[in-house]
Amino acid sequence: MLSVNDLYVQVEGKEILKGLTLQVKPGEVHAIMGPNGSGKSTLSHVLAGRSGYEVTGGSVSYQGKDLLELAAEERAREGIFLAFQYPVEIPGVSNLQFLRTSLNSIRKHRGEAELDAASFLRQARQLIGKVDLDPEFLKRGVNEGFSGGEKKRNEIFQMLMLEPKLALLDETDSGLDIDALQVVATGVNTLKREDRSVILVTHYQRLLKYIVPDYVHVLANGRIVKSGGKDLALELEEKGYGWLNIDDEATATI
Amino acid sequence: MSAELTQTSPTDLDSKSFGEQAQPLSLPDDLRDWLVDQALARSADQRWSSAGERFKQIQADALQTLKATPFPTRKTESWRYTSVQPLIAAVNAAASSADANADPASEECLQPEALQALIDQADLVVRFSDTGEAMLKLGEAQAAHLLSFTLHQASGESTKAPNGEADLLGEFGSRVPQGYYPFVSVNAALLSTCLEIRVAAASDDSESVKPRILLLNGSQDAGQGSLSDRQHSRVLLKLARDAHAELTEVRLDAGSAAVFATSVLEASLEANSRLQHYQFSAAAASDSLYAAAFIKLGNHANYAFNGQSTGSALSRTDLTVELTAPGAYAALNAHMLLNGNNRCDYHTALEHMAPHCESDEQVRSIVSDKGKAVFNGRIHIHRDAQKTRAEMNNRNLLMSPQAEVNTKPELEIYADDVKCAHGATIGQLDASAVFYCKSRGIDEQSARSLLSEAFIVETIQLMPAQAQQDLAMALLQRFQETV
Repeated sequence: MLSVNDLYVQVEGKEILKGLTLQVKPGEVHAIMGPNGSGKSTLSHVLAGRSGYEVTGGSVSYQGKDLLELAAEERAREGIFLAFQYPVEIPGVSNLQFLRTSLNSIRKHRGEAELDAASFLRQARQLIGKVDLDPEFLKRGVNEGFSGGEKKRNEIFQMLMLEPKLALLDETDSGLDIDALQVVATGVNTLKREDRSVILVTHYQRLLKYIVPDYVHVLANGRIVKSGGKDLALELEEKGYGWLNIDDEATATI
Repeated sequence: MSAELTQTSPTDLDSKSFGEQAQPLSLPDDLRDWLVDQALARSADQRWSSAGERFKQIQADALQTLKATPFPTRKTESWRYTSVQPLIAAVNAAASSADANADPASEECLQPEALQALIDQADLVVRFSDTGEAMLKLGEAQAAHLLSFTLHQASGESTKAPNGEADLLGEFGSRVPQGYYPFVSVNAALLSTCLEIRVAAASDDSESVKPRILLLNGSQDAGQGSLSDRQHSRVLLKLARDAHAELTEVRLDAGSAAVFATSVLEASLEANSRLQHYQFSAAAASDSLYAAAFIKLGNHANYAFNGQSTGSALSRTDLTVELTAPGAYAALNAHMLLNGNNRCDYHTALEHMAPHCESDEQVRSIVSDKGKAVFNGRIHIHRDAQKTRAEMNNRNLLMSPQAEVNTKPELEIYADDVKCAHGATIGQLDASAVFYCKSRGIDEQSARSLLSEAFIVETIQLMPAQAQQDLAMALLQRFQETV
């Protein structure tokens, strides 16, 4: 599915990822944990294709393609979905209009016909219920005036609508109460299938109570310093990041 | 005034006025002199079958004023960012049209379906044509009976409403405030049509019997290389106490001839009356257009302006609202959609003259390519206008490096117990919003048009009537397709 090899990335001339390597197979759920400033968000943004992230070394292959060669919208059409840590508000564009434009550009890329308005609406109404949002939210501007929790639910709703092959959740759990956390987890568990993979970028272990990862990686100072099974998350929760001998520069911000 | 010209036939006059133009025009004052000549030449063949003497006097007075009015240059403050040079160029091009290269056939003017809906529901439709003649259609609905009017034409007959004349000619020019309005004088001097309308209140004061008046301006094609300049219309409108009305002006131009057109509305709204005023301008790029509206609001009168313009070589709107009695309310909303070399200039003035009046103003623009938007929003709170609330907001979206926006909010406040707010922003599309769209599979171009459209849709949604919203959306879609 995804193969990141020895990836080096700079942001505004500062090296953030320093030789990151990660393999994700179809159907797997990977959790990437690490202290603030370790490069977690940089990883999700560079995979989604945000500009301003300069790859200075290494490679990323996604379903046999050179991911770094693809524009952000092409990556989305190929099945990559980024759930934003800070979803953007777009007043004047309804959630419905936005998602329909999005879904149809993805369907077009796959060679499928555009979804007619009625089937689209039916599907949207059904799936928005799964994230406990009122269908009225479909008519509102994208994330316009949504609370933090509503924005995150809306991200999960979009994910369910777009059915990505690789979902990247960038600290989707941060700032959520326990109910919202469970909604996010249910969403991810609904998406899970043997041909779909998920990368959860998170600061805390608590989301992993509801979404059981196949692998847990610790990212520190731009590299993956330790990988393990789901138990590693519990160990981190108990001992913190200190015992992994992460150097001071990275741990100072915890 | 021009007895020596009376023997000349109209067709000779046209060729004469171009033929006599030995030198191409260069300065704004040359343009003024040319317009004076045009007006003099035309006055000979004007018939104005009713009230002819009155119109001759109006035109003679306007000519006197015009001759003494210097035309705006870059040093003229209120015309600093809008030049009359495109009109000078159009006049010169028309004068030398004999050797102009013929363009391929002009594009068909696509009339949006939404316009047909407006025509169908209107109680009074007046269509102004290239020849200066106007056609009038009066509906039969109940609301139509609330209208009394007369359509006067320089070229011919006048038409009266079955239930009487409006009898407003005596007020011609009286709503025009003190100030520098050279093209209002041009409008009177070259006047081709004058429509006077009086709206009475419905007996049961219900919204459903609001008369809808639709003015259609458009040029199909006056011929390659010529200047279509016979559309100079004045509308005198009076809403009686408690009357409601809707006035929609639409300009859709097609054709290769440049158009020079002026339209001036003078309206007075008596106590508790309501006017919804819409102005749509989707002109050809070569057009030079001037529009003015001078509105006087009485006690608790309510005026709502909604404008949409895609600009042109020269496109200027002066809009002045006088709130003269307590409780009056004005809402001014306009947006400009500019690409290519199109310009658009809204100069608005809200004259708060009485206490307890309110106004809201929202003007937005999207400017692509080398487009240029100008907004000058003046709010003038007179000394007696205590307890005024006035809010004005201007937001502009620059879509290209060469796009230009000039905005100037002007607040002049002489009362001490007022609430006024104004704001102006000029920005670009939010890069994080563009990325958000892209991360959902939407390509850059579509993302940009989705986001810029959203910016304008907010102002379109302020239009109170659905049919006008539909037309605005249709013209917005057409604009988006050309960006």
